[in-house]
Amino acid sequence: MASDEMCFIVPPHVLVQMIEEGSPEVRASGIRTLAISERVRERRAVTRRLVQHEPQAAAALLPAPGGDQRSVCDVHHGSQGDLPGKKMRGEGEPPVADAAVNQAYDGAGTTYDFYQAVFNRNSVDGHGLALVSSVHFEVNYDNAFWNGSQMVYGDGDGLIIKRGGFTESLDVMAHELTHGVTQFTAGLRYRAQSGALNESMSDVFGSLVRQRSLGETAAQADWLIGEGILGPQLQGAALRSLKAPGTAFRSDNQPSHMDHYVQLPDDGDPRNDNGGVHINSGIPNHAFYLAAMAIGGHAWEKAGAIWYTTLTTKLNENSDFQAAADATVAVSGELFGASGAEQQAVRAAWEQVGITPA
Amino acid sequence: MRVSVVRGGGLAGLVRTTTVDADRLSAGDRRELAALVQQAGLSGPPAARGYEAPEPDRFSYLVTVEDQGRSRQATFTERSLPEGVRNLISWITTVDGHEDSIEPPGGGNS
Repeated sequence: MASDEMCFIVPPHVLVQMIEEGSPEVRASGIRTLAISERVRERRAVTRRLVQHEPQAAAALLPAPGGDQRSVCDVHHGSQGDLPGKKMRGEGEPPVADAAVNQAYDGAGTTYDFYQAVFNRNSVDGHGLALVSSVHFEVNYDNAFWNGSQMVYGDGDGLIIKRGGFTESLDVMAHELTHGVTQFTAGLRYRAQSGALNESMSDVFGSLVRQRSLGETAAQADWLIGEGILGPQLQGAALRSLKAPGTAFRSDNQPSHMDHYVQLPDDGDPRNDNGGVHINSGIPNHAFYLAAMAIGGHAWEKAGAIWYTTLTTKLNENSDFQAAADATVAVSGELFGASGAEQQAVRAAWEQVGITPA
Repeated sequence: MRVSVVRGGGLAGLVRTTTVDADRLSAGDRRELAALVQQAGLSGPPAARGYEAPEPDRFSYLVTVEDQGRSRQATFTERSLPEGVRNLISWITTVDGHEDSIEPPGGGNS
């Protein structure tokens, strides 16, 4: 065990080198070290690199595919050190008495099926990562998040978010799981424009997962995120609207055009939201909505495919809005023909939000 | 003593500000607040902390303690929230007499 303990101080880039270039013993040691590392963020960064370059090594780091695709645990109001908690329902097992457990189970399944059926993507990492969800995180906890390797849901405090709201909302669950997809692909850095794109990708695919589950066309969809989950303090229909950013609840101030871009410092001050990632996401969100509406039909089939290919093959951790606009226009030409209706729709959509694609 | 907690981020990205003024608390709660501030390590000079990359949809916190003309501020990410600060925050957000507001990011400058 001494060597494993020592390995905890090995920097992540050295671990990657060990796994990519080392002898079988060195590789095994590197993988084992990484797998037991407490430093979740480092594990995540290294795993992302390995998925791209060394899928087999990465697979060894991740929960085994096949046997137990989904599991939902109850963390019994414990905190991050208590995750994932006690397993309540595994893949293929019948519903349990706790509605939150069943909702988290169904939400993970519907999101998995969406990525598999529409984009032939096997789970958030593309390699069958088992989807673990924990419910009842902390007390009156007003949030849901992807922690780099699993889903975590609070119960809501009944004031900002209604009790049980997070697991009632399929688009919220799919939003969070899409943070996982982004983590394993473009890795969009969570600050300023790259962070707002990260948020926007989660809203776009969050909404698409729900639209597909309801069989809706772009014109039929409500394009809301978290519809019906707000508590009395927020007064509104939803957390965000891709159709009409800035209208989801009373003080929603999301812009839908670059003229109203909210310039905030990325200074760690909680008031500035990592440089406005949840604010300026309204701009690319609305561009997607406009493109999907102009193309028509089921939004996941064409607009969704363009955005998915862009996210998974064209963007990187520092991509900004301009890069996303340029890439989606290029991809729409590659997928559906240069100067076709799809490419024209995507170009026009970005121009309508104040960005001129190259 | 006046203590405020600003929470940002989360899935909603909203900024919640919770403030308690010791003058408006019962004598027992006043003593408890002072003890919690002490245990949170917010009565001394700030400790140096390294940069942490933000994670999607996690909370971050700015805690301000104003006491006898001095002001002390510290920021924390949810992941690295010390136990004492966590206890202070959960007490402040539930004690009788706290004030709460919620607004989008950017506040006055948006």
